[in-house]
Amino acid sequence: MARRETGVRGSGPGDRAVLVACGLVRRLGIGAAAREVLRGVDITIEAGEFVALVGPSGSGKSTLLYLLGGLDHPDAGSVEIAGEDLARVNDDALAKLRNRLIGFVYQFHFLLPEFSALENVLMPLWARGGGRSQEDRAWGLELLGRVGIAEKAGKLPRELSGGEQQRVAVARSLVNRPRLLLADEPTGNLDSANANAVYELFRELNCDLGQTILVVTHDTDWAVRSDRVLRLLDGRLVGDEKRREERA
Amino acid sequence: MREVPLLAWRHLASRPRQSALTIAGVALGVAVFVFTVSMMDGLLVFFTQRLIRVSPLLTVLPERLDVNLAREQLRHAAPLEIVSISRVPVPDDRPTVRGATALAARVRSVPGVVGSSVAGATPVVLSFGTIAEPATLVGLDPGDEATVTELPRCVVQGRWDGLASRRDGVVVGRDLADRLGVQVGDRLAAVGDAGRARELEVVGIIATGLGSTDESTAYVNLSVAQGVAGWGGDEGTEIRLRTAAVANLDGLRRQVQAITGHRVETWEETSQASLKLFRMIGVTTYLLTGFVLIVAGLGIANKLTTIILDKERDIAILRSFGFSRGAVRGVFLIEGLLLGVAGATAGCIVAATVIEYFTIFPIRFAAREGAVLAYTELFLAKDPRYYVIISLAALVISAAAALVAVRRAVRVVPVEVLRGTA
Repeated sequence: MARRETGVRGSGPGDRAVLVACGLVRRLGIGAAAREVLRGVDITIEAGEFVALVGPSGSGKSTLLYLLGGLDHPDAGSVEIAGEDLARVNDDALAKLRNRLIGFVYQFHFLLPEFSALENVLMPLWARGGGRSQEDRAWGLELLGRVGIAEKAGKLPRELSGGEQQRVAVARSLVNRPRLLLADEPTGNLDSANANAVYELFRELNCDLGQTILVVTHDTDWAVRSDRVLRLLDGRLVGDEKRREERA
Repeated sequence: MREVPLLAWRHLASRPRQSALTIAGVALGVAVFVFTVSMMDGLLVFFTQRLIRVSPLLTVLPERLDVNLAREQLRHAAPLEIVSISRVPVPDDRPTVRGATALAARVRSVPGVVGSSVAGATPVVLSFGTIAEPATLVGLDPGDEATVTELPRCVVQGRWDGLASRRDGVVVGRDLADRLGVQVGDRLAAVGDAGRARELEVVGIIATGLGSTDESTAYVNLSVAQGVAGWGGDEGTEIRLRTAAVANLDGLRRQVQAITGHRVETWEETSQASLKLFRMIGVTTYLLTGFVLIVAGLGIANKLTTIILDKERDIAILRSFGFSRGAVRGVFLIEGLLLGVAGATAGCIVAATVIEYFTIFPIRFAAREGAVLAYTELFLAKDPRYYVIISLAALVISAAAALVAVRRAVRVVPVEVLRGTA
């Protein structure tokens, strides 16, 4: 699989941003129970970066991820992905935009139990009216091969182990060739061996395909091995540590 | 989105027992509805056939239209206006058609009229031994009547021709004969309301299947009825006509009215009350049966709501992938329609099988005394339109039920579900 160039908007380093979030504020709860979960978060992620977002429970990591992925709307601030302002589109257009630009991996695999591994992988293509052609199926199988379970393409989720299910979820998140892969505790539900395998998979995707990845994690080992670590505390970004030189 | 039906199908297929139960509910509703409509229509068809068999299709009544016209002219005249009325017969209390034989002959030549008969009906008390029963004595020409109705074929004992061979012959309705205890050959007495009496010999027992006839009618020669009622030799209470067509008789009715000057009624008007009653019973039954379909619709709504509640997480995931609200709505609408189509198809098959079974092996029951119709066998009407209309109704109800349930699916906000799951 050849390395793809992702998230490149122009020639200068400032134009390589895949994700730009400015002044994100998010309040959750109603009335007296309302609290500000995010208090003005600014993030820029460039093409090809492998970023870990860490922080204690309740710091607002998942909330931030949902805002960045266009699944939730900020009370203030803006999110741009590949130059598209998420606030400027209606609900259905936002769904299309998510389909086109973003891949999601969740803590739980969230595979649809009635569909085979390959069908689950192809599902995001169905949302855009594709997924039936030989080419699409070959791409789905290739992704399953990439995550190491091509031979289980026809199996239902219940016939797969937890690690295998999460691998299918990773393959599914890549099938639309997203500009940005967002993962919310992707190993939180896996044993250490499977967690390591998923990390290696993400790393491979990042190195081989140039896939831009933002992972919310509690896993310190995962954070240590990322290119860049963002630290969130009480709804504010309190740290932005580049651990490796940006890959060419 | 082409995979929307696949999503719908897999949801249903993954819960075979629940889906089968929901389909069974719709099938039951459709089958019961089709069977009921078939039964009610069968009853109406049965009644109509009996009615047409033994009743004239057009009846010339004693009521004179020229008298009515003169009355109308006088009613609408301005104060002190002079109204010219000519050739108006003076109405009397005799409810008869005068010159009935000549009128019947004239009407017989009208194109579309295939037979005519003069009849005179008068109330009498029939006595046999110590038993006396009120009845309607209908006088007619037995030969002419055979060109108008199938009464001669309804004679179950004795012979209709007995009326022709015996001037004092009488053909008695079966239930009336039972109550009187008479048989063919017995002699009974008929006393009219003016006290004129006549002794008659039973020459036949008739069973038409219509309660009003079999319960209280006795047929005699016209001259006998005229004698008992005290009418003249050329009077009758009606001229009975058989027409080539059974329906759309309005034109012919107007034509006969113009020739006779008397009001003419179609068979549908004559039996309006009974036909209306049957239709009303039908509508009431359909409404009650329709509830079965509505309950089946609730079953679909319930089933889909269960699926949607169970699938909220999947819906959220699909939405996060980029499935639009419309696509999610489509999934559950198709599920509702699939359940509806499967239920309607199964219901139609069940209904067709049951109807066919009871056609081959009909249910028989005893006739009830005093019934409007001697209905002794379940008569089921067959019409493909029942299946089409009821299936469409089931589909509409299924779609409506799905629409109600689907509102919840469309309202799923992915982030709320995902946040709750995390």
